[in-house]
Amino acid sequence: MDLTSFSFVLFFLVTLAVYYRLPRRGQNIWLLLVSLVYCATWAWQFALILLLVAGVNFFLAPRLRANGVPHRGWLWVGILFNLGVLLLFRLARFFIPQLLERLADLGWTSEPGALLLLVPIGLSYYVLENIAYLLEVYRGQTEAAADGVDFFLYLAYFPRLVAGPIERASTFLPQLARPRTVDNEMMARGLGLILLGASRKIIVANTLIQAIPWDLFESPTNFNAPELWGWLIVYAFYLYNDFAGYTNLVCGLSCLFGIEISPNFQQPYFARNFAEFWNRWHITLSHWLRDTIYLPLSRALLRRNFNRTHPLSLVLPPLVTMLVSGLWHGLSSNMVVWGLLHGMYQVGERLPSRWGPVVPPQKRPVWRQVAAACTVFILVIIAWVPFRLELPEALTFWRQLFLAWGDFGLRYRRILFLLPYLLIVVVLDWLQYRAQDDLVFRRWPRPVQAVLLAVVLFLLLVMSQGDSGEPFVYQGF
Amino acid sequence: MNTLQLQKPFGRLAVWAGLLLLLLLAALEGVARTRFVHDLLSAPRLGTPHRQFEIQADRLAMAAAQGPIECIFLGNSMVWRGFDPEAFAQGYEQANGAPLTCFNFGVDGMPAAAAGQVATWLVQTYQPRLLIYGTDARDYAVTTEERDAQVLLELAWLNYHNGQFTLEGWLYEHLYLYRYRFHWQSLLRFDYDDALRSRSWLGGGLGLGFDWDETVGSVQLPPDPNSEEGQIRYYYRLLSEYQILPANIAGLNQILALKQTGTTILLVEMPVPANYMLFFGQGEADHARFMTAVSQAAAAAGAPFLPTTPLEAIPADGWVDYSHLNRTGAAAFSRWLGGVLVSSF
Repeated sequence: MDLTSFSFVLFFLVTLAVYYRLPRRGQNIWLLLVSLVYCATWAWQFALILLLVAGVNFFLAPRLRANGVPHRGWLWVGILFNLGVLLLFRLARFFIPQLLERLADLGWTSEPGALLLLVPIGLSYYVLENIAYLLEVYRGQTEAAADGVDFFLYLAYFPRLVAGPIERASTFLPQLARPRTVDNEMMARGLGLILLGASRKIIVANTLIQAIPWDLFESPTNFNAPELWGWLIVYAFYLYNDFAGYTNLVCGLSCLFGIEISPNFQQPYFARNFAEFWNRWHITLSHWLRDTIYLPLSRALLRRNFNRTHPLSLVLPPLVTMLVSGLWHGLSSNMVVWGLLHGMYQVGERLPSRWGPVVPPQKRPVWRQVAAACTVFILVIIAWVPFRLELPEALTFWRQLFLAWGDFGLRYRRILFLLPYLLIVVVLDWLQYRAQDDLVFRRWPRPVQAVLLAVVLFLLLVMSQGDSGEPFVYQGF
Repeated sequence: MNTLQLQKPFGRLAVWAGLLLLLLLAALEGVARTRFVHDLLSAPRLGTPHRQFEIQADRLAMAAAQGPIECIFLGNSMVWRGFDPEAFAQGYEQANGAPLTCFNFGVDGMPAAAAGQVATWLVQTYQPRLLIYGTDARDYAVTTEERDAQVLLELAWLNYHNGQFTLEGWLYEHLYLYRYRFHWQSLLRFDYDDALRSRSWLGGGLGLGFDWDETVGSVQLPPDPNSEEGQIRYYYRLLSEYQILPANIAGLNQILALKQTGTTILLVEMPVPANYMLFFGQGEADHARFMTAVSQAAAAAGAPFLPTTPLEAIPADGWVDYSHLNRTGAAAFSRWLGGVLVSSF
């Protein structure tokens, strides 16, 4: 059930109507039930897998710090279990087909076996949440959850089940433990975020992806370099608006339950260096990687007397962290290259710190900030190529991108018509960036807000009609 | 403590935005009804994936705007490709001394069951003096589960016209904005080929519904039962074990019953080449079953039925394939029909 589908709207409204009539405990039970139903709308087995994984972590967590003493062994059991589940399903697509073929030869067909080919919805996200939870409990940053319903709900919570944000138990569970309030402010904020998210997804992202020529990624040699750069920019904005739209939508829906969800995007294409980019793009994943891999690795190097400016300390943590990020996105060579590329970008911008203190970007002259933002943007979109394509195709794409400058013809003139969309998105981001507020429009005069709202509603009404329902791109991870 | 704690005033912004939205929609509805928008955009949608049906409906509405529709020729793609209104008018005028303009409402894949529904709408809306139903053996063998048949039978707009209320049918009938909503979307997404009348055949500029095909097919050779060609396989699938389905006979009777409205109903067998008989498992015998069933229904309703097989008026190079006439064949058939129509009345 897609978040922008009519059936989801009905499902959500019914859930909300019942939710408001229940006491806190009942609300949590109700949310858990509907979350499992929501999960089962993909396949009922997915709900079972979710319960199984959550159950193992729930019973494991108290053993991590029994009597206040951290037990490293249990922590590793937990981490390996979670990684094992993730790897099982991620690797299944490589070995299950052969296995099923062999079994079919023997006259045995297996539906559950075939199901293993699909990664259960949201698995990549709740596995990371489980690992973060176990680490927090192990480090004594949070207590092991005592309430099974609350813990299961923390992992299964349907608004963010499909593609995050990756929530921390220490911020999420306390919200479940206390009564929630949805007042005027919360309601307006929730509805505002829903509209913003739906607009980014339906009006912008779906338009951009449908405008991209079908053969852009399949046959990049059909295009010259200027065209490829143009369409790559379009793709970059599609990716951003799709995922940021999803996050806005999810945060807005959750606000209507009185539950705050962490933001995941903050105008990433205005980032002036890569450290800033990863603090603005998929923030909750970045923070998970920072806390679980980057910082422990940096500390381990420090403990072994490699100081902060030592080449190993400069190179290893970002490279390993981004490599893991790439592998999380997919067990494939192109994702490895994508991760390593981002790792190398970060290594590159950290190297100058070896020779002296580095001026933070916000303290540089404006023209240097703009130039830095443009550089980061160009490097990011170059890296989107292996994010989208298998490695051999990505190499072909890059070759065209950098070398095919002999011809300046335009095969698809509609790229010019997309400029207003891109301009609207950049202006929207700029307004949000300056105000440090996603719902900056709420500060505008009421008549302007009313007109804007009417126009947005009209566009949503028109553009959602018979929409093929492009799935959210991060739903696939 | 209640979770929901809303305090008044709440929702004023939404109310104002809602009112503005209504105003915007009303203004756009006015714009959507203008001739300018109609001429600019491709045929409006009526809620079916059967785009050709929507285009034919739009062409008919445009023709009706020029003056009353005297005659409509209804049928499947054999009619669409095979009935030339101009040649028919010439043939009719030569024989009668008076002109008769007939609109070609041929629709791809429409069996008799769906034709009954379409005919009811056509007669009620346009009240033609004459409705000719061009029919063929396949019209009675196509099940209502076939895609084209199903989408026509389930078309909310059509059913609304025929007395079955649905919200969707009502919206399509009364709101032009609703009919054009995919056009706005296509324009906003730069898909001009689908949205603009001037960009493709979706515009449907031809006045009387007839889309000819210039191809000359070799129908003198017998069809190959092992052919992989889609159309050949389709014919074999429908005709090799020929069945006349009750739903299609009901559709035929629905057409014949329209005689009570004052419209003259005429059934015409659509001509086929001799080798068409090879698709039938029982050959001529199956074809005869179809002819008998239609003759009996027509006789019971008191409506004439005009057989055409074999029709010598069709030249050897008058076929696109085993069932469709090309432009030459369509002209010959239509002129012949215009001429014989006199003696049928």
